[in-house]
Amino acid sequence: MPRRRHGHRTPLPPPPMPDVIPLSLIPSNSLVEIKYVNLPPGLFMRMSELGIMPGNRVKVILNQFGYVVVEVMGTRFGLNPRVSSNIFVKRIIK
Amino acid sequence: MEKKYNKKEKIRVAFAGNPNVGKSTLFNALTGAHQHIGNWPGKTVELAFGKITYKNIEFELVDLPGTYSLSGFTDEEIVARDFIVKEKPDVVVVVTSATTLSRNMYLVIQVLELTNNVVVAVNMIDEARNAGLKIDFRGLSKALNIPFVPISALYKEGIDDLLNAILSVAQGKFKAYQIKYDPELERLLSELELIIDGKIEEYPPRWVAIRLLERDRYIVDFLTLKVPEAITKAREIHDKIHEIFKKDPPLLIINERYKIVDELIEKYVSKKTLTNALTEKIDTIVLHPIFQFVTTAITFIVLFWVVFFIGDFFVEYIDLLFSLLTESAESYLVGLNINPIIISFIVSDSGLIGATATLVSFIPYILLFYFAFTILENSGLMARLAFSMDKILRYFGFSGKSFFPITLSLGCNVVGIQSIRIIEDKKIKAILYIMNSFVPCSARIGVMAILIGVFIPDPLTSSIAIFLILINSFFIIFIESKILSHYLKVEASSFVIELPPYRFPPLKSVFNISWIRTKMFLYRAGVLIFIGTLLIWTGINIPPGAPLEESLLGRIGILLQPIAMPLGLDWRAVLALILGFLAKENTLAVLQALYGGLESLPLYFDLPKAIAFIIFYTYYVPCLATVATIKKESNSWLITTFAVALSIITAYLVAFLVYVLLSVMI
Repeated sequence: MPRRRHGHRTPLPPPPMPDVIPLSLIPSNSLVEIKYVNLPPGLFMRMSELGIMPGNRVKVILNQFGYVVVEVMGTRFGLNPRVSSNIFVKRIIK
Repeated sequence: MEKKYNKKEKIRVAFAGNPNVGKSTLFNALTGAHQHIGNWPGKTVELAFGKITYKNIEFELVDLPGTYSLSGFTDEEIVARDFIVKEKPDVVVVVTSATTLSRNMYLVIQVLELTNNVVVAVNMIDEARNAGLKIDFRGLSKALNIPFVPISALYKEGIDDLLNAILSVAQGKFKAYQIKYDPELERLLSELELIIDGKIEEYPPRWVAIRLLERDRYIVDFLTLKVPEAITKAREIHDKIHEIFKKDPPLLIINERYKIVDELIEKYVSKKTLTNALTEKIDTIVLHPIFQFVTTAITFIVLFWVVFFIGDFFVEYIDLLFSLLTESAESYLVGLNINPIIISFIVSDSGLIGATATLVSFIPYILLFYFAFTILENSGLMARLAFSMDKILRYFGFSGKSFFPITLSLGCNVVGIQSIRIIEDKKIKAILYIMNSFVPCSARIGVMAILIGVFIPDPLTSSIAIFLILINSFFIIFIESKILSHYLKVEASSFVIELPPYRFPPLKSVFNISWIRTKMFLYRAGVLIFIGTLLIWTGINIPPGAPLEESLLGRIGILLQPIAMPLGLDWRAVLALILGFLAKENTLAVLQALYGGLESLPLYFDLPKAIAFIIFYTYYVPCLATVATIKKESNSWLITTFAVALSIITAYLVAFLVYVLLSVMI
């Protein structure tokens, strides 16, 4: 049962998962599955509403030192390193 | 029951939609130039309002801000949501793009949680056709029991069908099916709904129940006062959701919405996503690790050239026109033996004609700015430039989009302030409004260069001095913005920006938007500029006929002299600075008048005094028009007053430091 603190749930740290790394380390032209997102609640919800949430697949169009362009549901988004380094993904190799 | 509309009644229609779906193009196609812009009370978010008549019925149209959802994370989302809930428009048209329907449908589902009277306009149908995309509009309409209307706002295709659909919904011919989620979730939602129902009037109970499970802070605060037992029940339901679904409730609801979207898209749309070859080709250059900065520089230079070089061309003619008008008016009034004070009130630089000239001379810059900026924004290029510039600007505590306000201010602070509206974060906006004062505009740079040339004749030394003063202004911006960021608790910025496909926006629509925004500027900031100018005329001309040093402003200058003395400045320099507030170029004119010509200045100013004066001039409050624009854009006297006060204090301290250092060294 997650811990309660002042009525809010404190997210548990992610369980250790093999091959799961920050999005900021994924090379350009890769397909990834999002496993875990470690962002403040407001931003986490915003990203989820854009489709960037655990379980979804996104295409990494380019990565320039953590500045990542992803394509999700036909739309491209640019993310800065503060965001991309807190999205943990598993690369899908076809 | 069907409602019949007659020509005396109005149908109120709100247009919602994601950014970059062509909502504003559609709005412009419907209303043309017959629209005006207003602020939502208490917010700086703008709404566009327009009216049209169709089949003898008047439609009141409202263009809501573009939002990805109605969850209330941003002011735009709050305004869009509050408008739908509080103003209760007869119909909400959710504008989507045929090329990104799967993404846009999320907002449709959220709007359907709020109201049944929905029409979905599927825009860019021309692009979808070219890409071979097939959408079963009838199937989608049947599935949700709301009209799905294919349109092309660019080519004005399907507009009549859209208006007919709006009319049908307003007349009650369609009533959307209620969106249903997982049965277990629905059961828990109805438990919560039961507690809320009948106890609130402001919002639909089901929507409130959903928002409560999503931990919407505003709804939680609202219900804590109105229905506190709902908060307790919501906590229980949160625990149950964790047990049953092993998911956090807000995430569960988002997933449920997307499940519905996915089912609809799977069934009724032939291709889920489209590739845009042109966008990909252009992005190889625009987002290239090295070329992106070249692209940014070129875009900025072109933008600068369009606004200021072409703007200057028109302003020259405006100045000429007003000079002729002033001369003619003066001769005419003198010929009529009108009192000289009244003549001065009408024809002087700070009189009626002067105030009007000041205002009118801003029109070319503002209009060109909005024109160029709207093209940049709607083409998709601005998003990519902001993404590129974020890599550099984050070291200064700014996000990529801050590039535009800072650099445009080098041409004109008014234009730079206007461009701050593209920043979403309120705190960063406030910091930029305040810091803008320290970016020296072209007028200030011009005057500074002339004055430095008077005191430091050697071209190399004077160039170095100008360079150092300019670099120092950015150093001040860096230091003070870091302090303000710390004080305002600005979090290290998380930058997420949509990179839409490249498109060239319709020029007519761009011009309409630009003209409407320019009119807004003239109306809001213009009143302040006009009043301020006339106040300065009053200060110079009271008492009537008195020399400048005995006028009201002159006496103020003498009164302030003790404050200026630590910088080595006398009342004449103070008056030049006060009148420089009206227009930066005035400072030169006043210095010439009071000191007997620029070439005489070295007789009254030694080098430390001169540099102190120039530094104070460069960093102190920008012109009246800029201050008026800060007030208009920020909608805050606090920010405006703080911006003015901080610039004066900073200018004074830096000028004093430099004066003392140079006095010791020389």
